[in-house]
Amino acid sequence: MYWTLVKIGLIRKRLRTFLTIMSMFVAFVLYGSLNTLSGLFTGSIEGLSADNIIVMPRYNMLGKLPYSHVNYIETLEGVEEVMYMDFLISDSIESMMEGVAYAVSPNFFDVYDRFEATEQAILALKSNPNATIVGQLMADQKGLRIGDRLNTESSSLNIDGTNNWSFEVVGFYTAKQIKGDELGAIINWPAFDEARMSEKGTLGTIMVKATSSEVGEKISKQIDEQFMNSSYATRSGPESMVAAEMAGEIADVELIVNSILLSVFFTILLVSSNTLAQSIRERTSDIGVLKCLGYKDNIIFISVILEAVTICFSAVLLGLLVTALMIPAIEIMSGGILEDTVSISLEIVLGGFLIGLLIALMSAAVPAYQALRLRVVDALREG
Amino acid sequence: MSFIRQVLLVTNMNLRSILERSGSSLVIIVGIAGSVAVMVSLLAMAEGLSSTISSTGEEDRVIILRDGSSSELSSGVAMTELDTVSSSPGIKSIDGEPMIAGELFAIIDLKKKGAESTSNLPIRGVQPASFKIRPEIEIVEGRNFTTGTAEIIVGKGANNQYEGLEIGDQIKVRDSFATVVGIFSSNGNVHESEIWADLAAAQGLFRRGASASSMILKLNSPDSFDEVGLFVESYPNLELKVQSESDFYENQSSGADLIKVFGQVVGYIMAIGAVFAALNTMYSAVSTRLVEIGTLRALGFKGTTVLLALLIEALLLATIGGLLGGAIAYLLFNGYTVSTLAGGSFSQTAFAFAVTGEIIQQGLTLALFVGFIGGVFPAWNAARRDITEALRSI
Repeated sequence: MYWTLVKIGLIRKRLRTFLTIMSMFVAFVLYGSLNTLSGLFTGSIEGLSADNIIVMPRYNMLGKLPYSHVNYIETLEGVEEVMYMDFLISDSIESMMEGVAYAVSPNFFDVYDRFEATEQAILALKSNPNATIVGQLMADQKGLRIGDRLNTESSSLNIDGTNNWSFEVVGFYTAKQIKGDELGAIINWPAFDEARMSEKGTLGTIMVKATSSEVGEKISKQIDEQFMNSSYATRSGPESMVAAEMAGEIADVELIVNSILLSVFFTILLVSSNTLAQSIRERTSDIGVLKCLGYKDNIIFISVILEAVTICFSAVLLGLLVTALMIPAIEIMSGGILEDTVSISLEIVLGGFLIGLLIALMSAAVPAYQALRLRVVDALREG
Repeated sequence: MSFIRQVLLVTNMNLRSILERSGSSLVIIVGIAGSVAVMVSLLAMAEGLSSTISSTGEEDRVIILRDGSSSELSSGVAMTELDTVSSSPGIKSIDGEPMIAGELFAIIDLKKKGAESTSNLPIRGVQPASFKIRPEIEIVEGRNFTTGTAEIIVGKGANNQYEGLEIGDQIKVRDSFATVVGIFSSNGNVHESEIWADLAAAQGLFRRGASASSMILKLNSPDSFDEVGLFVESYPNLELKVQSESDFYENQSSGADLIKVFGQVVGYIMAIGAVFAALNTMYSAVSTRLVEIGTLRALGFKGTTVLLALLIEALLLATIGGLLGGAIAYLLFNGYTVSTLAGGSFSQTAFAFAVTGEIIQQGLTLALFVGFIGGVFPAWNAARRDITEALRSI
């Protein structure tokens, strides 16, 4: 019974129903896609843990720390393991590899369980001074196979006096959670340090695995205080906090973008709920006829509301569907970096339907109630 | 009666009835105003950021970094190298001194006003020549630092955004303190987000010895650029990269392009939504006026007259919406200062939203486009209707 009334309401003015759904649909595409994308940032932060401490140069994030810092940190209480890495930054776009090679300490793969490689590859990395383990994603993109050579030019001078560096691919690593981390090459720090001319014995970042996150905080403070007045002052903190701080650096802009999006949403919703209400107001005489025919007030009221809900939910459904279709396109455009990291969460879906329900109720309830309260004669006179 | 007069007459009639239909006409205006406001604000943000960064660079200034470095932060030059380069031809001289300075670039972390955690801001150690090379630097409060002391001056932007950077305040670097003695402006460019100190003092604070991060110099004219380039190349042991300051800062503004694309995409998507809303409104505007339209046609008014009059109505509403949207964006955001992570420096750059005429124009174009699409189909539909059928709907 409800459905008949709802259907009649919907097809009464097909064009208007269609246009209303479409304008709301656009709002929900924006809602779905932008929320999904902003989930990206928080998603990448969630992958990091609080008991890993990062130690960086304090006054220059691209600066260096001496190896002796590692020796000191290893003596601290509560330190389970110390890893470190330096960066070989390639500066030539002609080189085979764009970006960074990470020169890591031999224990890197044992401690950092976000990154995984085969036993064999890790052994080869430690024994062969020219070895590199490349990220699976980069290997796929460049068609690298085991035994291939990876050549790059860097501002770091090689011991032979040139800027050319060449490595042999001995395996591939995969990264949990953040696929973009697979766009790199890992080399062995001791061998790299041996092979470079300048900045010998220096590190870019030190990572400390603490026994617990509480101990981690204490250790961070201890390290920073120890080196406060040295030439190599440090800035330490849990990996998750450092990442959150980095994200916070763009927070201002994010806040503005968010508030702008909120206004996007409200504009379109205001417009469509107005249209929805209008279409119900125009139907006062129809409602009078229904009452004459003996339809009960609550049945008419509920069917009008149901009609609005149908329109809103169609828009939500379509909007989220298009968002879901856009995700593979975004992943392809990102060159695989975002693979498996973007998805519409249940919260976004539920939130969408909740908003849809609210709009339907807000825009339909008042005009429907007003129409019902009219006496049949007045309602009929309206037409 | 001329065609144009007819159109104006019908338009006039339509507009008089707008007040009666204020609810649905408002839908067009609000829908378009919203889309335009959003697009204009995002574009104004991109414009503000990119003009702040790119206005820092001048054609006749040259920045020299270590070869292979793309930012001052990762670059390092020895003071002896500075001495070598200062004898290059093409550098402008003032009072017999070449206009060249070594500058040290480092970052410190301070709390932003109202923030819990700290953010990075750049500190630049400069030489006296730095002020001559950059005449836009002007002390607006207090005084300049005294050479050789741990005094600092703070850019206007940094002063606004961070806690504890008022005159008389002290900041702690390692175990030493530096005192704020002045506040400077620099025509709104990126230096306003920096702290400036004496180079020698900064070298001490940051334990950098006799080194700087970059060199900055002023050319006799932009054409002298090659002279400096060739001079540096003639010394094989100078591993330096010479580039014009404008190129250097142009490369740093890629974030602004991203915001621009984002603003346009969101603006256009919203406009699609607004088109549907406008179509809806105009269709119902037409359907409630079918009798009037039929009567006009019966009186001898042409279909095209009716079409044009309806289209003009839609475009007028769109223009109002567009102007309203532009005005909202302008009032809310023009000159509004925010800061963001700037490319390559790992530190904050403050910039102000800039709602320019060109951006308003883009917003109005979008509004008219929405008005046109939203108006033309219903108007076409109305003009084509059979007169008798239209009149029958009484």
